[in-house]
Amino acid sequence: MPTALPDQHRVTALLHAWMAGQDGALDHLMAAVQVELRRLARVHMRGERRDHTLQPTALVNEVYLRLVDLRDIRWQDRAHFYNMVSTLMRRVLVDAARARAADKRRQSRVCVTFDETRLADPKAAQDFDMLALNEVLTRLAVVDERKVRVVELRFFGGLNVEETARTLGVSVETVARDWRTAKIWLRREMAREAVS
Amino acid sequence: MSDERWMRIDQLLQSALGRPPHEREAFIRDACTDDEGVRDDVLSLLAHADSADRFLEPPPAREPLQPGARLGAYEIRAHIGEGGMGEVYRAHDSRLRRDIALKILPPEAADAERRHRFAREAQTVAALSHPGIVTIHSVEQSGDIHFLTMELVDGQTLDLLIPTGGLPIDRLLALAVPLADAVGAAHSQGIVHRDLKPANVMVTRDGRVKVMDFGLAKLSRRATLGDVKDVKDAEDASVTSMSRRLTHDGRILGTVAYMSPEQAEGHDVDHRSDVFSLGVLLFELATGRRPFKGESQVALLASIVKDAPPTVADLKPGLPAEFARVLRKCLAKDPARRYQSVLDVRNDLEEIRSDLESPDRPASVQRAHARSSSWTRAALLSLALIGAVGIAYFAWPRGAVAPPVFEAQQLMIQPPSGTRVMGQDAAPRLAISPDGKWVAFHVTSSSRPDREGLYLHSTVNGTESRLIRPGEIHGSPFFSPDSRWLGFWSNDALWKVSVDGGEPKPLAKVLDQIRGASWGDDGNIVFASSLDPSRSPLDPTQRGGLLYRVRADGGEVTQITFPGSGTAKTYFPHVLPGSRTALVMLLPNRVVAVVSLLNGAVLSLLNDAVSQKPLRGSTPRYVKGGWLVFRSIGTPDAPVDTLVAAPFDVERLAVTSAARPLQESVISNAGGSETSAFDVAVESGALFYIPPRPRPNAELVWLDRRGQVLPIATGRQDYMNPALDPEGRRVAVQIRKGGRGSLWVYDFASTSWTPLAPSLNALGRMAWSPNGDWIVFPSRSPHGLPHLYRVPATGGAAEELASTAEGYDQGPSVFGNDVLFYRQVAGGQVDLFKVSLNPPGNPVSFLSQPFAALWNPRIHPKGSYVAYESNEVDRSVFEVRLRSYKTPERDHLTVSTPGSDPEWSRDGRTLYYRNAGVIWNVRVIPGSGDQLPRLGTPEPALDLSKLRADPEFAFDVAGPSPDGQRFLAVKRPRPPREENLLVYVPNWMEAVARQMRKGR
Repeated sequence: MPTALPDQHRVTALLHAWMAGQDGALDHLMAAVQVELRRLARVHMRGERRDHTLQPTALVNEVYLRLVDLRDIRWQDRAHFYNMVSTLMRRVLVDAARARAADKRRQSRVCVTFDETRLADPKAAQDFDMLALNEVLTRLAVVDERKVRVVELRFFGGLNVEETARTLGVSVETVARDWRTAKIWLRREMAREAVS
Repeated sequence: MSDERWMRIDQLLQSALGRPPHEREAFIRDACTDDEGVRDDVLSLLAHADSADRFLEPPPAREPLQPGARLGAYEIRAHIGEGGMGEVYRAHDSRLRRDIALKILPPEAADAERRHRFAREAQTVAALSHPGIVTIHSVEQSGDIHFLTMELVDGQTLDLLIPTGGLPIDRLLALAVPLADAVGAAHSQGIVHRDLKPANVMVTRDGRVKVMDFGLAKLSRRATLGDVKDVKDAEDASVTSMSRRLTHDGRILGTVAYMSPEQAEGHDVDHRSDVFSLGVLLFELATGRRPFKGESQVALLASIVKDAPPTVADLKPGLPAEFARVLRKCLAKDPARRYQSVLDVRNDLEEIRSDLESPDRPASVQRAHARSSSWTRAALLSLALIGAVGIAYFAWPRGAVAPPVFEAQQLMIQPPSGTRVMGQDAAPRLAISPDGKWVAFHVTSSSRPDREGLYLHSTVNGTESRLIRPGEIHGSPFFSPDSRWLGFWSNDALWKVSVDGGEPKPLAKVLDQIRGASWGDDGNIVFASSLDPSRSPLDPTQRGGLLYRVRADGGEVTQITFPGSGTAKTYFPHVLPGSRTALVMLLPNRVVAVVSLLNGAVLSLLNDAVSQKPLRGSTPRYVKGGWLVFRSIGTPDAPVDTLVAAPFDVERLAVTSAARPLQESVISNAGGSETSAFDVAVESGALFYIPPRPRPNAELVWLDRRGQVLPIATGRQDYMNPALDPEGRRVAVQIRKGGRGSLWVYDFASTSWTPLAPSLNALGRMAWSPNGDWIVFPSRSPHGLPHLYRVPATGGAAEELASTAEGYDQGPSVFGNDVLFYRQVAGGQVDLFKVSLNPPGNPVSFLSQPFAALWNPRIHPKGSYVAYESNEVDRSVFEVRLRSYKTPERDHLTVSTPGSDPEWSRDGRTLYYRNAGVIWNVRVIPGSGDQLPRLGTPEPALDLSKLRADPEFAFDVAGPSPDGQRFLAVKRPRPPREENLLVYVPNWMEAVARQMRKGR
């Protein structure tokens, strides 16, 4: 039986320590979370077929389950953890996408361009370029930081509207609107990028 | 792009999206005549609105089929639930003109060979036609969808009928005997179920049992780990498939929980695997708990394979010993040691049943059974066919999750699977109609966005569950006085929808979120909102808290209260009879008040009739019979929110008698983690609420070296950061209540408690002075940063240690008159500081390593060394290190990599630390002169991994006792899994009135 579970208790303790203001805990905590995210990202990518997109929601649920016993953590403290995990998740996935892109170049494959038919096909609408998403998100952050946080928490952090609202300390209505606007804006910008 | 421009675009886009698609473009062209750039920008965004809908959303498990859709000869009528394998629909068979249940098979079913095998088996099952087995009619395919059709059963799955404390034994046996019968019948035909669990057992309205999905598990490749080829990847693969399924099916752990050990290990299974699963199922039926638990799928599988199940009698005393024996025999790890036939299980259960029914049973036991089974009957009577969204509806077992104070019947409503009910945040999210016949509530979901939204549910027949405009967030639901309309705010407007059906109608444009609305008997709706938020978008103080009125059939919005006329903001209006006045909550003091709806004037601030203190709270309601009900706001000394009732004179607008807190468990903000919510039907007096999650009350315990728990009778509290005094005779501990930590000292010998520094909010790790006279602890200063304080252990004034307000000061350790602690000095750098108390001085740097974090210093009891935690060698690893206390800069020694939480024994000859889930102790052999010590071989002192696997309790382990044989710990019950449901109490107000009369 596989039993090598990560040190859940330790991560929970680190989280508590961090929340209690023991800032030295943060580095260690981030390292632990990142290691687990990377490992899971690798596993998922190996398991997925080539044309499948990595689902951050699936990944992150596993992280929550394995790393921290969230039930023992108060909401205010969880919010910080969610914030951290969603940011880290974005970083890990973008790094993974970069690595894959580099890999492709090394194997001197023909560079695959963004296929417009994929935009038209609703099934493929889910399948997108992580690097492009990262770039347009960075651009959105210039004008509307909060919407980017909403996207990070919902898409990379796997939170629902309510959890996102609590984490950001805004109303669920605000989150619902931000999410909607952000998705539309990102979609358009990614389409523009693909065309140009 | 400027912020103003972007905000305008954002706002226009939202407004346009609130309109029907064909009106959007015209609306934008109208609204942006002044700025073509903005106009084109918004129009181009609108062009992407549809394709963005599913963008970044988790892929749906499968688009649910809509009523009217056709699959071959079948027409879908309604979605009736989700079986373990896929969606289940009620469908009409046009050839045979009958309604059937249609189950969509998982994609794996597309594998021709598997399907063929399954079809062959399904035929055998169909041939059985046993009354206890759901008959399979056919296995078919339409397009790329594979499905099977089966008998439509009018009933509910067993998983929704198991009360928290388990079923009474007579009721259990009435279900278990026919269940074992049915499984036995299948076995006799060579068919093994493979996935026996409560969700696969239907109980019909008249209480009969029907097992479904025989052999279906074979279709699911993921049901066992047996298919994983590469052993090395087994864990990874299970993790992958598990997390994928977690997002789609939160009940994956539920499925795994019933697996037999041989299934868990991926071996071939025979009918004896079903015997084991049946044992798990019976265990859960009897106790309400599963015998095997784990924090993840992997841990759960491991538990099934190696852990002995708990004894049922411990969990539920009074169960027949014979029944416990049956369970033990079903749950044997080795198939050869189990019952070799389900029919033997059946016969043994039958025998227990006839024993129980024999007249020589003690009368008291019989009475207990009669009482406890009454609700079960009620459950089956009120059991309704799952509605269009699969909302289950049944009686709440008395004394189960939240012990009701009142003798009132309670009914429980479960949100659709994969969703959870929203508690109250800024706006109310649930409502009950005045006559109590309708309830509305809001659910959210991360896995099923298609199920998010506001639901309307009938409490009368329980079959109506309507999702009002899916996918949107709706706030402040409220009903009309005649209970025929539901109003709500969503997407920039106030809406109403008939409870009889039809599309919602917009009543008025209201841009800012509504925080409470109420429909008066004069046909006006009063709501709390704010001015057009675009006028003062950046100033939140200008938002919210104003009352408005609109006719219930739409029209102009008129403002009732105005900003600037005093600082008070008005929330949660509740129109009183006559519609001239309304109950409200006034900010900033959160007092319950009455305002005039004619001119907005505050007519009365409500006081308690006896204490004359102002009533503080939210969401006030006036209930027929003269009652004011509201949710009180916790105070520093009583931080839990409660529901409060008081007799209220609606003519004098005054409370006429003492306000009484009710049913503390109904409403709570326990630990600030969950906000529950309520509404009361103003005519019928029914209560509708989300029960809070239980407060986890912890215990102080000892753990011996084997991990055995030795209780300390200190009572249950939310204990934090316990610290033993050097003699091991007292413990200093923080008790958390309402977000504040208070400091106490408990004396083991006198079993007495002493409060210390009551005005300070103590948090974080503490330290005793070596002589046991005083304690150093961190507390938040008025500036919000933790500072260190010291207080005499016998009580007295606390004094702040000389400190500057620049950093976080934490983790004290004391030697003589010196306190060592750590403080963040920059980004990731944390240094150790030392401060002298006598003579008092300013903190000086003790040890600093560039870019490294040093924490949890522990000074050796004789002052020879200091042990601490740090990442000075490798930033990604924390180690336990040791230095000379007198010359810390000179030399150092690594004790453990990684490592944490160093603690000295009292004599200083042993050092404790943690590594890999184990507390180790190591001998410290002093070096000569100034030399660092030598270390002996580390030995495990306490294995924490076993404690950690405990599904019921979490342990925060603190320091060792002076003899090193025991460790002080906080034993904290883990709250149950995210359980979230709604409770409806039909005659609540009546019961409250009775109780209040009695109490007087």
